Amino acid sequence: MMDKAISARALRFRYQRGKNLALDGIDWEQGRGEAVALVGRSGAGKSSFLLCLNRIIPNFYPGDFSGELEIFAERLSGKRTYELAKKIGLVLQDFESQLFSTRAELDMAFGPENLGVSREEISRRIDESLAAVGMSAFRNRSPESLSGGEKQRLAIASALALAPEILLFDEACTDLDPLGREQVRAVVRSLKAQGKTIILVDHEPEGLAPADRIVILSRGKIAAEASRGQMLYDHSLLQSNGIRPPEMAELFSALKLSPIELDPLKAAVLCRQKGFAPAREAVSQIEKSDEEREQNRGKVLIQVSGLEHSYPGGIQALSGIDLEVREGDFLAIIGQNGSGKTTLVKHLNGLLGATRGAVIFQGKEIVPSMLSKLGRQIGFVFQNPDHQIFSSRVADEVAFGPRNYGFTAADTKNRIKEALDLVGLAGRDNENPFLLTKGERQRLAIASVISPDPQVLILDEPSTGLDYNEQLKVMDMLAELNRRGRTIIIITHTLWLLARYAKRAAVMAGGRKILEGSVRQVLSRPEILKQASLIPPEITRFGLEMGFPFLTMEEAARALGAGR
Amino acid sequence: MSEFLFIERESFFRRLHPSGKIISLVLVFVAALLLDDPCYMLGLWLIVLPAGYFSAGFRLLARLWFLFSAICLASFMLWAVFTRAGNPLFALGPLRLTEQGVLFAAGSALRLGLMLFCGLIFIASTPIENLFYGLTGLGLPFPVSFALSLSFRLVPIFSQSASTILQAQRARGLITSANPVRKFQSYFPLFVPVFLSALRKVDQLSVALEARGFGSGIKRTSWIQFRFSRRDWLLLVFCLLLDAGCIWLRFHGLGTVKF
Repeated sequence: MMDKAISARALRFRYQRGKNLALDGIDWEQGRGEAVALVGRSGAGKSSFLLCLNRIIPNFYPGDFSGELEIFAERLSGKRTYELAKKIGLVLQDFESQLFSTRAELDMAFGPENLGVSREEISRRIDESLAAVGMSAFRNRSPESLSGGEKQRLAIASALALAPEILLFDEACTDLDPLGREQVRAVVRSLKAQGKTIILVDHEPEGLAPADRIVILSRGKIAAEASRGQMLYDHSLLQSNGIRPPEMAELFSALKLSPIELDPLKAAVLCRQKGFAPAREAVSQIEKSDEEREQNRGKVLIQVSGLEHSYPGGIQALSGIDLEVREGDFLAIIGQNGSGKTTLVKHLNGLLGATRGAVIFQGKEIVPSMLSKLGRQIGFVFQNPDHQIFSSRVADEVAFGPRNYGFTAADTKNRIKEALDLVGLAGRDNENPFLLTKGERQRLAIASVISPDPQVLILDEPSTGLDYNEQLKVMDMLAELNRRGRTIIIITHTLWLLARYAKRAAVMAGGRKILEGSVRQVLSRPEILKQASLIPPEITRFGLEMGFPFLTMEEAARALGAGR
Repeated sequence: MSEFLFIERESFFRRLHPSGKIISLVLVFVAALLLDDPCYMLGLWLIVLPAGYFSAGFRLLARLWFLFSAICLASFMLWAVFTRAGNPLFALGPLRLTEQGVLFAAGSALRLGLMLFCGLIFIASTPIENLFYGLTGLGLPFPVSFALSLSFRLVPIFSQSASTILQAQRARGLITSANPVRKFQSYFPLFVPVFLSALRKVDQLSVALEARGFGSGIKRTSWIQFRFSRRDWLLLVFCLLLDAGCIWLRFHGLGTVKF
């Protein structure tokens, strides 16, 4: 039995003025050097548990706290947070808020300085920590000049500079693009290999890879726990707790194949060995339906030609973009952070003006002065719903747009009802938006943009920060809007969502559009996607090995099941 | 400071000891406060202006020129309108301008501008870490100097949030009126999200600080070190002489507008 690193008994916590217990009798044992993934739906208590470990709860967030916590057999009762800073490093989701210095090395020095560490020792720790996250060449860089993944690695290095034995990662990959996620996950794997004790919170199955064990929290209680190997195969348990089950595990279950192989390339070899191959008939049916969809695209709605944009200071964010959005399209714009995705879509409703080139909507060139009026026809949902919600009633929030556009009281009422029905918030008109969950706030933000009934809906990363079930709810709702004839444009980093819901995709890299086509065409070009630091979803990689790029597990199961 | 305010560029002012720089800034403020005659203020401007070149002050001023000019102009108009004493120059209904009032207003606007300009030189050439090193060096408790320094870091974060929030509301049909009352009303939808977003940011920042041992009460070490060098002494002596000169002018009844 390894040494105990973390031990909790009957841990309970209720936030001041909180209705329910955030933690409701947690018992926890974790050995030194063990990595545990803590998962669960939004609001399950994951972050609260992490914050208890360094006593930010209850020292910083007061409330009713009870139970026993021990770190390396030392009781934490009465300890101050700073006393634990040298034992426990915390990395948060919002990397912007964790970095406050003007140079990477100064950010790392901050923690040890607070604990009175000598200058020589701080220098040594800076060198070691930067090397541990692969950022030795970045020591003099300003954090603001780094990409999301680099910032998060710097935040990890800053935590490591305190020389902690335990590291807590609270959704450290959520806001990152696929490349950034992979960079951070590689660091976590290497820290695990160095023997650090780790707790990581992540919604994506790929993020759970370094974990020896997975613990599921639900409403502040431990709902289940098992080794990673066992847990990843129980997809219904994962799904019901907000985790996306690995596509390969789902496929192997559907094909009644065992043992399950999670690696898509190895899985393809195994499937071939067992005699599976995509059925010709099923494949041609899929191809025919793809072709019909392409041929039945509506008329051109938005035409982008030769679009260029330079920000003040001469930073060229877009160059030579040509893009056609047709009526009824469900277009996904993908690419790594800083590739120009948001800058591009901000031109489609007048949030930004072109430096060169033009964006034409229904025969008229879109210019920034049209922004307020254009919202009636082209709705724009920002990434963070909290950037737009301001009312104290759900209904008032949804009514804001229709009222601005001069709808009558009766029409406004109808629009509120229709929008709330569509986003699954029917009957919650009088609730306070700020008391809704993040997923509900995201859906409310969408309702408040679709309430004037725009023809086109643009959404900037609508699934970021949501658990699996909330992501599905939001995307199902967009699919429904698309079925009702609305044109949808989304920016996303989540390629399995794109594969499952979008019809077309455009890939951005370095301010240029490097690929465009149907989702299947785009995802079939991993070599081009790689230039944008993107990797096709597992099921598509598996499909490419099998001879046909599947987009969903259901598609693959049908084609392979029929082809055996 | 964030990159928005601090400009990473090697310069004379960038290399100065932060505590010395703070004292020098205060001494220039004292000199500016001793005078109000616009001709003398212009003299002070001529003395201080080269500092803009030896720092990144001009570059920051170029970024903030609109705000800078608006503040100076507002100061001039307020002083010109509300200073009633002196020889009448112009009257229209309740509006009355006097010769001395206009001179005093010009001097006050130049003084405010000068102080802002020196402030810009300071913040453009002082990273946040140097600022709190300087403030703690002058005896301010670390949490206070850190909070003061951090407030500069938060300025661009909040302004960026506010700009996104404004865009989000305009995209939903918010039209900002030219009428000041209506304009204020139309900005209401911005206040709540701006305030909440600021609270969330500060909350996250506080958690990150706590987790890194902030406020431990342990005697803090500083990884960066500065030595008071000859150029620091030279600047201090220069500023002291400037103050002495202004005091001498005041003793001889010069440098202020006579009513």
